[in-house]
Amino acid sequence: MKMILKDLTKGTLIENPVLVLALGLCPTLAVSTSAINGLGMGIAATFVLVMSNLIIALIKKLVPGRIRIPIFIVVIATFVTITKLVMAAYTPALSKALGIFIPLIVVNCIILGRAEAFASKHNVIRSLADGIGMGFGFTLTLVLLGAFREILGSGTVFGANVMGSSFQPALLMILPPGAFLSLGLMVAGSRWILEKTGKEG
Amino acid sequence: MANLLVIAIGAILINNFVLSRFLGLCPFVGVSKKTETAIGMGMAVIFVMTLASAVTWVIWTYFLSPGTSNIFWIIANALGSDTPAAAFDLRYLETIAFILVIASLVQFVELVLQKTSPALYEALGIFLPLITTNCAILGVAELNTMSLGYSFLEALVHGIAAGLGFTLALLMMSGIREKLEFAPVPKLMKGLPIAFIISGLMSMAFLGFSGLKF
Amino acid sequence: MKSILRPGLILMVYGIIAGLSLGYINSITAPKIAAQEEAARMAAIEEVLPEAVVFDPDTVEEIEYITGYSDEEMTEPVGYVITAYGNGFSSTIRTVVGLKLDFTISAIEIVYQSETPGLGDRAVETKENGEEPWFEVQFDGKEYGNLKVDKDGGAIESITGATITSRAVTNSVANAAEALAEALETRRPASIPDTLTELAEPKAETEGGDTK
Repeated sequence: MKMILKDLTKGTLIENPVLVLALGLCPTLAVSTSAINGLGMGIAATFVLVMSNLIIALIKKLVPGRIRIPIFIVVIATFVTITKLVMAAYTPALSKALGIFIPLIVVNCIILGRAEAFASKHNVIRSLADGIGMGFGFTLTLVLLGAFREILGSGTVFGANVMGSSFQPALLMILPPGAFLSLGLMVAGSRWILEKTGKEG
Repeated sequence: MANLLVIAIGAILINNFVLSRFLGLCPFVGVSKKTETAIGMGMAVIFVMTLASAVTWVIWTYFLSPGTSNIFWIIANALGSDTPAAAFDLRYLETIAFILVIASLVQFVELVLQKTSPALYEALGIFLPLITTNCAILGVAELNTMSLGYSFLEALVHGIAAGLGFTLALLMMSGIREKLEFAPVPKLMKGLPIAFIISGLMSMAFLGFSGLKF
Repeated sequence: MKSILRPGLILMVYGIIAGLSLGYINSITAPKIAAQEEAARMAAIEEVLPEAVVFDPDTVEEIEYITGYSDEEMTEPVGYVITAYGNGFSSTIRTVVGLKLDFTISAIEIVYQSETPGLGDRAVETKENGEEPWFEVQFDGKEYGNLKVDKDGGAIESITGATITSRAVTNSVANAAEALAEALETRRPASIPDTLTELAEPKAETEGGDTK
């Protein structure tokens, strides 16, 4: 039980996939121009991560070691395509906003990384917990980064104006350089928190 | 011809894959500590990207897209079926088809290099397995076909140029990071954070290219 | 040989299972996606040519266009609707363009784009607040002849940080309008507007017209 709780919470900070493990950087930087885009991407990736962790933990005994990576990729690609089709059918606006970064969830290193490092070695319950925990950490990072860039770059959060009408948005934050600068500061910030709370090894 | 030049300059400088499209960031951050490895990775990416652009374009145009050039339709038609060509729409399989093609392509290249050119294999070998999950490769395939609808030649040029753009960014980054070893970086900023800040500054510099007019 | 065959077969089984399940999902979502796109296209066509009530698709010199009529009998043409395709930053942008009879632009609506979130996709922003999207509104009433973005010396204010997107929309709209204008002018002299209705009427009987 304690292990499951740990699997669920480690992704938030201690093993945060983006800030600490430096995985899944492309979608993080590309879609974090607003909080809502970050949330949409986070949920889509979490769904794929949880489902592929679940399936891989279930079938791990049926997978010959030599071809496990291609099989993992097939499983992941299947769930990515399902996500893509469902989003295009039911949330067309979000699907358009995220563009090619939905199909690119396939090569998000977080998902293959968790399949290989965790789900192929642990039981179903723990793999599910790991998927949810990592997905939550990924989503949280994306929303925070998105909100940060949206506030400074457009003066809004989730589309609601928060900075008042006299605020001059710093467009740079929405542009590519802003993504790199914000993420750099955020990684440093997460390290500072880890250091303060003494959680790092 | 002018069109191809625009695509090439665009993919290398204006819409640099790493600094403006955010594709291929994992290797960009991961293998940019030394110039030597950066060159190896860059070459491997250019090689696979060009091949992948060509192969995925063929798969997309002749196997997945509906229409009279779809091979399945041609076969069905030859066998006397009168199903309309528009019904052979397999575009929803594109993600899974592309990633499998890229994975097998990487395996194949690895095998061929090992057999034919041990020297090249020595140089690029360790980077090849990493390339399957490099999103720049799948990204260029998706952009070529689904998003931008390029012709075969355009897709090929776009693939080469995207690889060159990736290598350019990677080389610059590794040059800076080698010098950075001797700089007094604050402890909190060491490693990943400072790498992102530098990428941000590079990306800002590359923004200037968007003023290029053709 | 056996060492390659077995993994290959296993991988194939997984591939077939994946393909079949995706085929099933696709059979559910495909009609929904298609219906949504069609609804969006129809809504856009009505939006860019608000005076028209009946729409009649036609082709001239391989350009597909729609003639809009203000009456059910299709005797009073009010303008044309065409689709413009422009190569943007990361997608081919599809814009539905409404043209008046003299080929000035009535209105435009971008129906498909997959440009950078926060930059290029601002081409369609401010829909949520109920306001008109500021970028598209700029085209209303413009002539196609001097349609350019401000960076190229024109009157269309481009989206900050997304010149490629702005230019793609603007130039594709101008080119599409020009192509249609030239094609229609050569087919029937603009000086005799009555021929428009005469040409349209027999078509109405054969095709029945495309009502909304």
